[in-house]
Amino acid sequence: MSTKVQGLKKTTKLAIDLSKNDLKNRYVGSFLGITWGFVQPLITILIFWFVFQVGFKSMPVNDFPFILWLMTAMIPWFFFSDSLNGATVSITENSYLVKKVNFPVWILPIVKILSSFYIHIFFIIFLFFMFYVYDYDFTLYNLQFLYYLIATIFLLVGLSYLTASLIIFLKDIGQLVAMILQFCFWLTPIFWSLDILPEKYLFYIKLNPVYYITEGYRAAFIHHQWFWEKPNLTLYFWVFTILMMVIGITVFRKLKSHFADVL
Amino acid sequence: MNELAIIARNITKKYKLYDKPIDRLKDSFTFTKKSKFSKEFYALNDINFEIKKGESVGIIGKNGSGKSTLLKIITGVLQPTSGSMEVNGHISAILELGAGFNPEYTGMQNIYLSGTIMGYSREEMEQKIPEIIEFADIGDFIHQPVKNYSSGMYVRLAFAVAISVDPEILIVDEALSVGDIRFQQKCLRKIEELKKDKTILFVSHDLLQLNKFCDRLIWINEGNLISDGEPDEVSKQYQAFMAGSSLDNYSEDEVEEADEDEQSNDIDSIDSSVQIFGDNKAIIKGISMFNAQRKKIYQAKMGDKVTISIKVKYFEKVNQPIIGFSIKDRIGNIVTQTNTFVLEQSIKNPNVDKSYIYNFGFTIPPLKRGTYTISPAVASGTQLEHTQHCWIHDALIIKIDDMQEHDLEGYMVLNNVSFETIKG
Repeated sequence: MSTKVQGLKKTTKLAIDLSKNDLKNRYVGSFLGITWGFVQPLITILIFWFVFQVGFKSMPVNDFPFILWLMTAMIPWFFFSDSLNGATVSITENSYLVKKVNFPVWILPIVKILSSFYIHIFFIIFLFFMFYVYDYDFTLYNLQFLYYLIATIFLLVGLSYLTASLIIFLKDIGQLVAMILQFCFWLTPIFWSLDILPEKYLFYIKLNPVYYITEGYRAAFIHHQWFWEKPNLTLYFWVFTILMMVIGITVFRKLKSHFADVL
Repeated sequence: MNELAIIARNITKKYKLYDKPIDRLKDSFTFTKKSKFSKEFYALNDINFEIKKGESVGIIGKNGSGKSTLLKIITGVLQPTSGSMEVNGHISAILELGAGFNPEYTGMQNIYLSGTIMGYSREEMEQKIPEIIEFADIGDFIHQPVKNYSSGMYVRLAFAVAISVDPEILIVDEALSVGDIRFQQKCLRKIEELKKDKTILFVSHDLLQLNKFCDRLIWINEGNLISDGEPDEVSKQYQAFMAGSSLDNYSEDEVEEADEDEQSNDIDSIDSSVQIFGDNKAIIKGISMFNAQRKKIYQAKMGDKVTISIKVKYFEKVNQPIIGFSIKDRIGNIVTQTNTFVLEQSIKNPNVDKSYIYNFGFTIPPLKRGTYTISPAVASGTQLEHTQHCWIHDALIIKIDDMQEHDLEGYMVLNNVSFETIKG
């Protein structure tokens, strides 16, 4: 029993060490190094802010400064897309670990999610800071981001195991994931408000589980609404997520023994 | 405590060969036993053995015989299709020149990475770093990405890391053959040192090396365990088998000439892979080395009396043929040569379409241990001006053992050296 706990402890440590490595080495060779991990999302946010607020002269949504409204959804989106992109190639990228050493392969997608998580934490802090700058007081609702963060991670785990194990056999998965993420970015109300959409499309937009997350972050920071106040959507999200996890983990377990043979 | 380090029971590894990766995917999700997408290939077939703690075991077999697959199953990288592998103890392995290095990382980062994977903290690894760097001895390259390494440097680092983590079981898969001779010796000395209290598994094609280091040899051929036992015994069987398998290729020649001479049966024919030069007026059909009892051998030690027998068949008229051979070391330097012209042996003009056997008897010179090749030739004319009829590069491969305890540099062994100190 204690050896099992020890093993788990060791694996956790391994995952944390590897994710730190991953973060450090993602921008290895570039002069600014890890700074790029933060600069890139910031620039994207700035561009959207500039285009919409300065260019299109968009009105504040829900009487909220556009930049804050945009950031609250954009930041969890970055976490989601970054993690999924990374986790999808996590096993192929580390084929040397799969083929040459006896290594717990299952932690590789987790490692990628972890390394994106660190960047996400930075942005959450940044988000709090921005709200403070704009003179919004801290409320208990804000802490709800923790719930949505955990929800995102669960969704990511299921999706990652599925894509990471399939891409080993089917390179096309990489293109497919990139395309779906592209779709998702435009079809999720991240930089546009759901209010501009005709009623009849609303249902389809809500089918997208990422919608639950981005709107959730907004609920925590802007709308000040608890997640149990929208039980149907919450129920749908968790059914989807748990189904995804079951599929992802089953596929991974089924294919795992072939990894070393194919890579 | 359990006395056994490794227990392999009915290990079978069946590979399904697919034309496309997608077929493998389809296969994983179909529930029928018989696959319609694949061809089957047994890399290992019902292998059983036990290895005791502290034993040093060599694994031999020709290329593609399943040695590496077996080692990968022992390390847990691959799963056997059926059977069970039980391993007691912490394994450190160098598989196919790799030790789980990330090609993008520098040598130093990879040392830490390996440490992390094997469960060592950064502080613990920091203590091991000087030892690793000293053993690897690759200078400033330690700060370069390993993708820029030569294969020798790669193996140096891999080996240094593998032994630094204090494994209970060390697995070395042919890796040493990449390193230069000095590094090989260094590694072998280290293995010798580790041998005392560790279990060592060792793949090599160098039978002399294996005989020296191993308590036991396991011979695998095409996925089957052929022999398992004393190194001497197994390596003899293996050599005989390897020689035999090349004989098979030449069976038609052998039948045709079987009645000519009883000795000719025993001479190995020429392997099809060798390079042959000459005008083909005469062709060398076979070459073998025999000991004083006229037993065919492939291994000898200095001072042994041996005979090199060369079988030549003449297809056209050749006047006063000269037969000779060169002995070359493993990098192609000619160590020595001789021929019937310099020996002042004149050979009667041979009959066309007949085979002759020429025997050269000599004593093995004090050569350093290692692999040597013998290249026989048939010519006519004089030493200075002659026509080559047939000249076969590296027709026969032999091993020479110098019986020395230490490995020194140079080509030859200095015998009977006397030594005295004179006070000046």
